[in-house]
Amino acid sequence: MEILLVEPDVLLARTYARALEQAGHAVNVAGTAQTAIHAADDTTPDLVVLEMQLVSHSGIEFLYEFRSYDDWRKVPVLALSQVPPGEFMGTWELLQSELGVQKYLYKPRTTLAKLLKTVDEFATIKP
Amino acid sequence: MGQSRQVGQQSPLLSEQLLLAIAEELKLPLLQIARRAELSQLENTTDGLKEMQTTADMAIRLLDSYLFGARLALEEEYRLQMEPVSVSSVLYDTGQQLDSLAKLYGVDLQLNIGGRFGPVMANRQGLQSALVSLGYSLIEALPNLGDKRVRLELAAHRCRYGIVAGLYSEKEQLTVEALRQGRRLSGHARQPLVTLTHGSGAGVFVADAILQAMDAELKPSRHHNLYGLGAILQPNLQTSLI
Amino acid sequence: MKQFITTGIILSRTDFGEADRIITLITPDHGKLRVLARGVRKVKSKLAGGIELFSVSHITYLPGKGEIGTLVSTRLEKHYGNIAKDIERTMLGYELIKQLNKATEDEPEAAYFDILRQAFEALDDPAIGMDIIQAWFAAQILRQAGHTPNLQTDTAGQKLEATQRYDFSFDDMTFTRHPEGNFGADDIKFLRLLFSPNEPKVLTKITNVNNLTKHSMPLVNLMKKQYIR
Repeated sequence: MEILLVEPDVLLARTYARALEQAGHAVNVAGTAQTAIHAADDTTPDLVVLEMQLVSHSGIEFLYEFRSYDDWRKVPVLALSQVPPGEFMGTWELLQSELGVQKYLYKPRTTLAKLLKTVDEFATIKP
Repeated sequence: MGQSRQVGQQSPLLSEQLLLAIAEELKLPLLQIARRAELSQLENTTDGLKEMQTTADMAIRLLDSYLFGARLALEEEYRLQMEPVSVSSVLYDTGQQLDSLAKLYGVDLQLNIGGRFGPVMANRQGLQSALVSLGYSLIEALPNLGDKRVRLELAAHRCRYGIVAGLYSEKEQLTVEALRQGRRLSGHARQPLVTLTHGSGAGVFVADAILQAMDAELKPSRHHNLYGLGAILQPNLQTSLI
Repeated sequence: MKQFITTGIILSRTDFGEADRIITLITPDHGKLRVLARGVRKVKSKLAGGIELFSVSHITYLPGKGEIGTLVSTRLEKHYGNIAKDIERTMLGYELIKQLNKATEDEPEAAYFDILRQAFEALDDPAIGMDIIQAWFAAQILRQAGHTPNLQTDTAGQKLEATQRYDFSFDDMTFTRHPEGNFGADDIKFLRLLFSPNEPKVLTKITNVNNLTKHSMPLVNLMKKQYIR
């Protein structure tokens, strides 16, 4: 799969990208919402792995922009974030239905193994 | 001879907000180490040991800086001993401590101590802790600020208030207003310095609190055509009497 | 051709044709406005600048023959930067934009601009709790749509009294006297302020506002569900 990894920390990005590449995926890394839009423009991703807490513009603003383009409306999004999922409790439905986040992984509790397994699930449901 | 200061109200170094910010910030290096260790195991190599060491060392330094300040603040009579300190020497040592992290993040760390400055009145350990903490936050943040060439300069210059020692880059890090609001929001908002960093900005706030304890102030400042954050320090006037 | 200038808050953007986008805004002069932004698809699109979430922008456009004008230029007038510092507040802000977009589908009046702008101001102020902003917003949307509850007299036409308890009738949008009713004088006073054209900040001065908000939220939410699409 062509994966767009939106991860603001350089070291974490490197580690996650390498693990995904080892598992056979092509990975494009972007550190901010704006560079992520540009990266998606260069190569349409099959999956976006997204940190919600970004510099200047949050993952929500990225998704707001990302989903406003017809080409990207159906691209699945996996949130991999340092924001505890509890903070989205009241708005999880909105996050799913309007912004198209299919699954939410909480970084401190997500090993690389769990990430790769979850990414694989997206590969199998790809049309 | 040193100056002492009695704290009538709680020092910012003891605030719950700063503690929250530190706790949040320290999740990152631990996460970096855990995932990097896991990657090495997946790849069945010992690659990544240097990276993990650097990450761990920097996290310890951040924690140490915070603890240094917090311990002092907890003492009954809050004393931060001031002494004549060489700015160049502090900047040099700061650079040494930040060098490995800068390399990891692809940040070109440069020392620019042109110009002769006499000593300043400061607490050496405090000043260095503050600058290292500040550098920690900035190195992590810079790659996302849009600089093509990511360069961070340790520098000092004279201003009408004294001598400013700080860290500078080509892209503006924080405005006066952003820092002011960030101080208010630290511990209350997830990203009180959202225009600078995706994290809690604890390094900036630890530096801020330590400098406040020295009656020095962390301020956005310019160094030639560069933008940055610096500590305004007072020259040691005693030497001019000799 | 004469250019129009207005301020506006972006509600949504959609693709149009090969390289263009349609921007939908709420403005104080023209209510809901749709403009065509030529050649701004993806590569040139910027999150910063005039097209940004939680911002008031200065818009210059040419009126079109149909409903859609053509965007000439945008300039950021105010960006509510504190909202991004808290992801919960960001999500609420996004939710309010969606709600307003929906509410203005049939009634694109200019007054909605102020409601959204004041909501952003409140979200930008960390001292104002999210519950208060949410309740205030729902009440203002209801008020604007002409669905303000009767906060003066009960179903029997009697003035609401400080010593009485009441339940709420959604059909009449009026309080009914009941000895064990859910709502008392404090709740009613709070609702009066909530539904009046005040800024959210005014509500924060009420004693016990957090509890009053929690208590009134289900009521206001049900009203919104019933009367706003």
